[in-house]
Amino acid sequence: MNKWHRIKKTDLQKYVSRLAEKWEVWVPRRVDEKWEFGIYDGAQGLDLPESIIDVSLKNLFFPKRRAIATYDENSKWSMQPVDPEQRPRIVMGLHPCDAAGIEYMDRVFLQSEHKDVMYKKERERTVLVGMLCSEMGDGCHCTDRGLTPHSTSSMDVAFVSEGGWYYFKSLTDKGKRIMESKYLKETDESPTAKEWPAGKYASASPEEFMEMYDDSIWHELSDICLTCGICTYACPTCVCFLVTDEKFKGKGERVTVWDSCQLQSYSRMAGGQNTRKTPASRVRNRTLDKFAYSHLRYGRISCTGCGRCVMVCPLKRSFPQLGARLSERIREKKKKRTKVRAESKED
Amino acid sequence: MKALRKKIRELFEKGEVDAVLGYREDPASGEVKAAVFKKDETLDDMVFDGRCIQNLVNYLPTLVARYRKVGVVLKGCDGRSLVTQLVEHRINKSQIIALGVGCEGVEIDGKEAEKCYDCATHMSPIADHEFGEKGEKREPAFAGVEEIEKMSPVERWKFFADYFAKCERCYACRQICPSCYCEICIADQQEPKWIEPSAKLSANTMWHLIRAYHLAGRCADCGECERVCPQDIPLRLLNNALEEAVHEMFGVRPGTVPEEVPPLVVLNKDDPDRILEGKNE
Ligand code: SF4
Ligand code: SF4
Ligand code: SF4
Ligand code: SF4
Ligand code: SF4
Repeated sequence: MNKWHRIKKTDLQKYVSRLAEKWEVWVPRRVDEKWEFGIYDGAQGLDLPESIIDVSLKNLFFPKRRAIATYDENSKWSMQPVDPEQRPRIVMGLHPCDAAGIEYMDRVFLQSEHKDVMYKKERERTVLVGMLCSEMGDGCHCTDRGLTPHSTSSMDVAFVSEGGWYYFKSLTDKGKRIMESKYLKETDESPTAKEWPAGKYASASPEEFMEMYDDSIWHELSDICLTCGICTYACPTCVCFLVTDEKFKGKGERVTVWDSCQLQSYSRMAGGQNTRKTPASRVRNRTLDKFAYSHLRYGRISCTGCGRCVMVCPLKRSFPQLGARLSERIREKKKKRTKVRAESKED
Repeated sequence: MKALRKKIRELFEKGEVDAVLGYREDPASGEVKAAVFKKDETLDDMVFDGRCIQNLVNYLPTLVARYRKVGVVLKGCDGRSLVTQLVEHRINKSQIIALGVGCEGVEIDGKEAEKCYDCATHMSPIADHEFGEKGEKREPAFAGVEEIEKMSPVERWKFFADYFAKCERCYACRQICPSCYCEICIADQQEPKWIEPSAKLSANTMWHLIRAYHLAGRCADCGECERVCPQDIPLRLLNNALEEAVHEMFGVRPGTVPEEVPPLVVLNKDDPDRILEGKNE
């Protein structure tokens, strides 16, 4: 059992600066009013938000745009794979819902049939130093999605703020490597365990969600949705991409670019057919992908309850409320069915 | 508001509309959102005030496919928007009852929306029934465009490039725009790939310039694209600059005059540009 270590809050920046001599260190930074991850450079200081960071760190492992190969049309057989970045790095200050997002991406990109080499390298070079949340943000609903603000899945090191200290604990061998520092001192004390409020949104099971596939409710649920792509880009577990070539004067790159099932172009096929023509069918895809398909294919639902999709939605559509409404409909239907069954027994 | 509700009830009773598209205040959350009201449904939570920011015209094409006749509550800018849809034959006027309401401006995050400073008409230019103050028609000032025009080309490029670089290509701007309704948007075409799908400066710039051109003389300045952009890109600047250009050249302001056809979709044999004769002078 690894012991807790602690560091004075006032020493944290010194510790991180030391790490940054050898590692590429990523920390939350404020850019235009929003918190997002950026490379630590010392000049900006260090400030770690105690709850949700506006922009998820998906981009660090599965970038918006990623070149996977280059080619030159003037010379034959010139397709060259792009060498992934190898420099070891630390990502510090991510929260449990983001770590859970990485756990899900691992299942998709590493543990399924098709392995993603680029993703694998990004994961291998990274030590995840997760910060347990001290409070829940307004949109946070991790407790509805099988997590708590203190979940540690996927983290190599976990730390938590308490009083004038940060308490650190390494959880993997990878994590141990960054714990050797004069600033971090072993302690017998441990941070107080917290109780978290129970979830707010009742949720049905993946199997029950699947039964809603042909329900008419999707039209109601997609009524005002713009079917733009921003909720899926913001989501730590939306992993769809398209592959395309981008070239200039004969020299080209093969790239992967984020795609979104909410866009009408997503399901357009050769010949012009589109299997998800209506907004309802696209909203259904996203919803079931989060609550059912993910579970059936990768063994866990993919919503981690971070609430970012609501934060970014131009219409402030609430995805957790949508899930709850759907679950309610499932219950209504069930009740009706049991009633019918009971009545037919009486007959 | 009373008069509006009364009229709507009357329209329902006479069977002149099957549904009315308006704004509803959610009693629980206090949020104001677009809503479809039907006969025998309460109109008590229907509202019209500074919170009614959304342009409802974007929903009309779906609604007219579902209902025989639809009433729609319109601010001035939304009315302009409706005109653009009618002259492009996307919607047929015979299916619409336009309910124009005098608009005193709407608010975004507690501040008057910028588009309202440039409002060309507070009352819908097309209305079967009018409510409230009609207000004056006026020429928009487009102070933002003026600022840009003062900049040198290099400064201008820097100004826009900083914004374009941030675009996520989520297409919320396109999705909310009543005038962006191509079956297959140029940004989605793969062969030829006019615009690369990745969110990088060069491709984003293409996306924004092409979108702006496609809306020249058609954008009603409802401001919705700018409002919904999650990256706060000042999209109105582009549209407004082109609105000004079209106004200068053809004397037309989109949507302000019912039945006025957008100048860039008409063929006119007196066009000073001789391109139609194969001479590009
Ligand atoms: S959703 Fe939970 S884990 Fe994520 S930031 Fe909020 S409290 Fe922390
Ligand atoms: S961000 Fe909002 S409007 Fe856009 S697709 Fe998602 S839920 Fe719909
Ligand atoms: S669906 Fe929404 S709340 Fe769930 S993980 Fe994605 S962004 Fe977060
Ligand atoms: S809404 Fe904003 S971020 Fe999204 S595509 Fe349009 S300009 Fe880009
Ligand atoms: S371009 Fe923007 S302002 Fe113009 S009509 Fe479309 S959404 Fe409205």
